[in-house]
Amino acid sequence: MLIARDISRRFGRTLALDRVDFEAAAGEIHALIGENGAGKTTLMNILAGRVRPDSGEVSLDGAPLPAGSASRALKAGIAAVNQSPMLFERFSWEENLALGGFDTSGFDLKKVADRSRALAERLGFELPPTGASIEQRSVADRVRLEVLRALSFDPRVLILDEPTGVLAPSELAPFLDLLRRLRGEGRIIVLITHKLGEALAVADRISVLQKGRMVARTIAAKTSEAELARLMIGQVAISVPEAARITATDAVALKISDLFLNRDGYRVLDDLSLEVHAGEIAGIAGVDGNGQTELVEILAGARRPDAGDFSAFENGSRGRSSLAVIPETRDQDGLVLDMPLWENLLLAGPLLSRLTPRGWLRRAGAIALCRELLARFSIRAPGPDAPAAALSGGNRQRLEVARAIACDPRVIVAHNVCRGLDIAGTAEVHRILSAFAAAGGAVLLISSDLEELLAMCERLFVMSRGRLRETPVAERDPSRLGLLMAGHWK
Amino acid sequence: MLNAFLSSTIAMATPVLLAALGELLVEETGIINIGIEGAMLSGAFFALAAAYFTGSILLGLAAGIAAGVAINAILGVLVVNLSVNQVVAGTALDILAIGITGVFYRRFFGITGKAFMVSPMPRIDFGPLTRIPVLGALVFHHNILVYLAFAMVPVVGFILWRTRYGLMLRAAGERPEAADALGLGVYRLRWHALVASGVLSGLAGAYLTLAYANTFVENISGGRGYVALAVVILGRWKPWEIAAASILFGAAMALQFGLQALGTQVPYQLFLALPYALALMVLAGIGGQAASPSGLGEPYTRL
Repeated sequence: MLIARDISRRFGRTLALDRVDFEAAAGEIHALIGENGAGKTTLMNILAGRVRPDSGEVSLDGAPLPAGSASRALKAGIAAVNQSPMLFERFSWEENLALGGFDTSGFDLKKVADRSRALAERLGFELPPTGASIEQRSVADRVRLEVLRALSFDPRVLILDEPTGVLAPSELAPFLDLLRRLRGEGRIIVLITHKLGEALAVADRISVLQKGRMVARTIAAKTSEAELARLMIGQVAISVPEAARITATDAVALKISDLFLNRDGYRVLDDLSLEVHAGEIAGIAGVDGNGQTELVEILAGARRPDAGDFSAFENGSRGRSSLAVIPETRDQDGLVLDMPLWENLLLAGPLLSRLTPRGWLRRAGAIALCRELLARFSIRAPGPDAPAAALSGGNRQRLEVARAIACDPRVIVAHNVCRGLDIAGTAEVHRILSAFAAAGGAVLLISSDLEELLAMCERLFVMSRGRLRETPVAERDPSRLGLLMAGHWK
Repeated sequence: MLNAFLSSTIAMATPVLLAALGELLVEETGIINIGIEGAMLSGAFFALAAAYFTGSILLGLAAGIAAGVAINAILGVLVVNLSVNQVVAGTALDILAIGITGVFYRRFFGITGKAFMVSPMPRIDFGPLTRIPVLGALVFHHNILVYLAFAMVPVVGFILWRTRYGLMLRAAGERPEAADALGLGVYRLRWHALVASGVLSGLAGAYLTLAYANTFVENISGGRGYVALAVVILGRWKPWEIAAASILFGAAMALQFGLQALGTQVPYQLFLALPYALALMVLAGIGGQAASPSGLGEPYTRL
């Protein structure tokens, strides 16, 4: 029995957790759900001894755990897997696992690799080639490695923070089976998620956090998605996004022609061509790591293709400034976390030139714009002067979308823009993008969330091993799309 | 002439190598220790003072080590526990060390004019081996600290890349928050590296006074600590390459002495600048290729 009593923790002016009680029993999968910024990750960090609570205590099977000691928590049997994997980038994957819990009396990377392979095989995971460093691995690979590292401790309690967001549809079912198998071994599984369907499918009980307070604990079999959504969000009504209206025109807004890219002897992009028209939302589906990241980097101007070209058009003439890109890794490529929000706005070229006429920085103007965007996109932030790091993940994402829209582009390229967002946040971002397209903008939505793409896009492409294929409406059933995403194109 | 050059090369490389190996250890845990110059200078003074007053080389070495560890302990409190900017704290310690050693030196020796000297550390007697051409001067002509310094090269390499403990040290420098999440104890690991580096830079300082100059002058370390910082970059954080870079620097120093001794019309200051100019040029040459630990120099605060 894992019990947390009366946990409170404050970060600066934000009360992240307010006298929270939580418990999970042996042999159960306990889902912890809540909106972005509700305090789920903070609670996980406190349970895992990574963050010291201001008050309250945690105990496992009756024995109290010392606050804020990760090593004691691990020794007691509590392992946690982060939403953004905590791996050592320049180390090989074997070295990363050697820092886990496999028998480490000596220092034998081969033994660690062997034991990892044995465990991975049991779980149905695929491992990278021997000696590969983490740097070049996809997000999905990283999550698998971190799950493996957590399991290497043979933990009594396994806490997973949004682990399924990066898995391919074909990997999801085996992963949920894995959780059930671990439950069957008498372990305590805590699954942090914002996917209500997933929580209902796999969990025995569900706890709901809302703005730092524990508002409900229910039995999964006795509740519904609608009830959970209501509990999570509280009093605010969710506006379900209307299916995007067909507003597409004939005017080409973004034209990508014959892109090729090779990396480490692999063909990452293979003769990729695509036209996006003004007024439409075009989608690219696919399992992460099939060239999406590289495509986005090329469109953002951060990477040069080996061959091919792309152009954005405004009223028939070319112009790169009319293209706004929202990258997938917002903390690394999108925002400077130490800089205040209004300075982060200035990182976008069009806003920078608008707010620095003749080289002078219009500080007041930037702050006013920032304040306006915070209000218009309902971003939860202390104010324009707060550093980006003070925002929760979902609010950072909203800020990036807000910044892209504020640039007044003709084309928005968004990569996994709703990953990690809660229901309300996702609906909000979808509404903003739909409105943008309805007003004559073009959107290229690249996502690994098939549901999102099916709801949003008139035209849908599937990307696999750097190649692109359009799927007519007739072909859009999940099993057919799943096969296409796995590369079975015949 | 060649023998003198070779022997001098190794003699000049030794203190830089000792300090650089210590610097490598702390940098792998994520700390950039600018204060290494101060630790060396303190080690140099206190080693000589202890040896002078007790007449024991061994106690001198111990005092040098203690001084190096003490300086690093101050740094540890500042940068590990209080998350102070590492460059600022290190620079402050360098200045502090110049002040402390200067004050003590003048208080005890500056006015009296007494010779502040000890007899040099003995060379190890290799018998006829010393007379082998080239190799004799290069290898069989030195005191124990020289051999200790070069013996540390594989030891440090082994610890960092062949043990789980070394992997933990590197993890602390690569991504401290992830290392803490695995319960590795980043603060503790950084303190270990700081103490080890204090020992090595204290020894490097002791070498300068006890084995090389046999006396103390103000600021005797003369930037060798900074050279050690450059040598770590030059050696791309790999022990054997760091040893090679130290020898390169030693050779430049030895060459500079040789050129001065020739008595040309060229101002001697130009020769003095040679080793430092060389370090700058090589650093500029390797530039972007260097692969430092990802978390190097980032203050880390546990939540």
